[in-house]
Amino acid sequence: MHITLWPKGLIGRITAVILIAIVLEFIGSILLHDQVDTYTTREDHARRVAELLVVGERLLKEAPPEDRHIILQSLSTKHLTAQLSDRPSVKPTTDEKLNRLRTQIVAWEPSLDNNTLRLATAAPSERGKGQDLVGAMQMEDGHWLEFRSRDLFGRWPMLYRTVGTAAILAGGVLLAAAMLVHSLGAPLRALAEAADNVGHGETVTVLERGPRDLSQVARAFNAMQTRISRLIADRTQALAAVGHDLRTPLTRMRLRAGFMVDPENREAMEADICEMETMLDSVLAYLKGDSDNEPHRRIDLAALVSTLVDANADLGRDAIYEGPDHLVLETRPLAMKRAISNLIENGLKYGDRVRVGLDRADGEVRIRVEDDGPGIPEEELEHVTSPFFRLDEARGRDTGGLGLGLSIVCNVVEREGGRLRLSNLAKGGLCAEILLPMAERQSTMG
Amino acid sequence: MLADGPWASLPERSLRVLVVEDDPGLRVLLSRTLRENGFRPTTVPASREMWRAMRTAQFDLILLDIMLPGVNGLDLCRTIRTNSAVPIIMVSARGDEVDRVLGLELGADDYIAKPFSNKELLARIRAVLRRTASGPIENPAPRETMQFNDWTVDLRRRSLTSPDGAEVTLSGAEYDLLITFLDNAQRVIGRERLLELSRSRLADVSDRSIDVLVSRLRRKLSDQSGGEGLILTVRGAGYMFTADVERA
Repeated sequence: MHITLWPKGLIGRITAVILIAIVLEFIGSILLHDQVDTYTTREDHARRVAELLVVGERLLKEAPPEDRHIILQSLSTKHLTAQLSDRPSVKPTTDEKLNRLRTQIVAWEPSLDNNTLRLATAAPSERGKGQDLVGAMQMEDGHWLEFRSRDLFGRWPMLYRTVGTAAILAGGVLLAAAMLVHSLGAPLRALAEAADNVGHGETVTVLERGPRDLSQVARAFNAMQTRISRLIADRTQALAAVGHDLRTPLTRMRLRAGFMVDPENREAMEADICEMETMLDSVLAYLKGDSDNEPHRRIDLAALVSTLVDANADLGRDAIYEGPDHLVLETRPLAMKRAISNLIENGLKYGDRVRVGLDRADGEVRIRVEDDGPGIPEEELEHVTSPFFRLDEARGRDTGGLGLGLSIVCNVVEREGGRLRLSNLAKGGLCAEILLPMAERQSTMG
Repeated sequence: MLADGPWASLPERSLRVLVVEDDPGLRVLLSRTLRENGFRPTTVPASREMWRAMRTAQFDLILLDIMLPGVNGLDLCRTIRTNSAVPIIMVSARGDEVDRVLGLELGADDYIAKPFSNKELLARIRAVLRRTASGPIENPAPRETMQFNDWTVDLRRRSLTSPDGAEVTLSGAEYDLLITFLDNAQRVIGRERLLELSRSRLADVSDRSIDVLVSRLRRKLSDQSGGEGLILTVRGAGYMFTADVERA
């Protein structure tokens, strides 16, 4: 239960803490306020009662009896009424609270100490809540000056008002606090968003703002990212340098192979060198990946695909292009060329003939490479695009290569916002499809 | 040492090739390959030696590695071009298109990527020599682009751009064929001559005919307005490129 009530987000939790704090403070202040308020109210009452008694006694003593009711009328207020009687309606009391009030009254007007002063509580004279304070004081002439103070001990209305005001205040404070906390959380959310974007290409920089510790986190995050990308860049660079440097000894080997007299040996040597070159190229292409800054260009994709197919056909391989003569698309031509030729070469590696189709449907350009090889076991289909993954052992066919071909295709295609779809053909063989998104205006087909 | 061997009778026999390459092993092998194929190679490891060699002798072709210690090949190429039209083939260890485009833009005549075979190297050298032997005399002004029917050929980048602004990929052989057509627009060119001109590109392939190449080029040049008519088949004679060609 508490798990569902306790918010999951940090902002939610901070807000909850603030809410609890405010509620506690609120309850505490009500209790405190209550006492203070009661005290000051009583004090006020005591003073007014004291004044009434002193002034009343003095005025009544000097005034002719027929004017007394006028004086009593003018002394009375809405809250405090005064009257004269011959016998007190109030009995002496030993109530602690009333005695304290009596002391307060006397403290205001010490002259009253000599008079007989009786205090009591009474049911309210009119509709209303709480209790009235009634009292009587014997004057020098033997009459009793009686008074009734309305609703002395009724503190609830006051309390309600206080509670109401405090509640509105607390609500406002809570709202403001929640908004502040929410804005404090912005750098945190930015950080989370940035962390989520790391590793998908460009470097993500988090703005180093917000509270000090959060901006420290942001700074640390940026620094970490820089270190990681530098580390990767260094390794990649080292590997690429080795790759490039290997080309020189490979050239030497090729030239030496050219001098070999025995044609069988020469051809074997040339085949080996060719394989090494292919591996080097695939590693370098793979390493290049996202760091490749090739710009987008408008190209005729049909011409690109057919050129690749023709090049294979010229080498005596069975490769056919089936598609339009022209299909204009904005893309990275070299990367796309690498991807498509990887698929064609894959097809020819595992099968004997390859058909390459090109068409356009549902706002996508589709490049379809079908071979007549053994296909890929269904359960392996999703793994074959992982780098260095090889099916060769399973298929009992030594094909060479590093298992980077499809990873490179995948990287290139995803970077273009497209996807690679692999499936087995019913008649046998693999069907690899590159699906590229296409804005309607940017493409024309002929 | 094999200068008087079986290749001695080739016309390239007396042609001098300057090889600028920092790898000693490769220098020896290149030197031997060239010599055995009838060239007179001189090898130097870096720019300083290159300038010295160029002061003492006249070369017919320079094989220039891009990755050199000190001044790199691309800068050297640019400097050489300021006062010499000697054919230059750039050699790069980075199978990088950027190097190729840069090299060609800086005035190199061709580009070859390591690791190349001796066959590939010799084919490129011969193609460049054949091209430059007649080129500069016929067209002394440097050409940069050629245009026909709103198509553009960028001679530096070796690229073809269609009327709607898309770059159209051409194979090396297709590009050479197109340039031959553009240079000989509105003239009938015989199959034999086209084969001869394209031989350096097609050397390794036996069963390829020029007709296949022409049909591929036709397909790439086709458009809605009937691009098929650009290259006419002249029965019994060869082909003719029909459009007007503008040079810039």
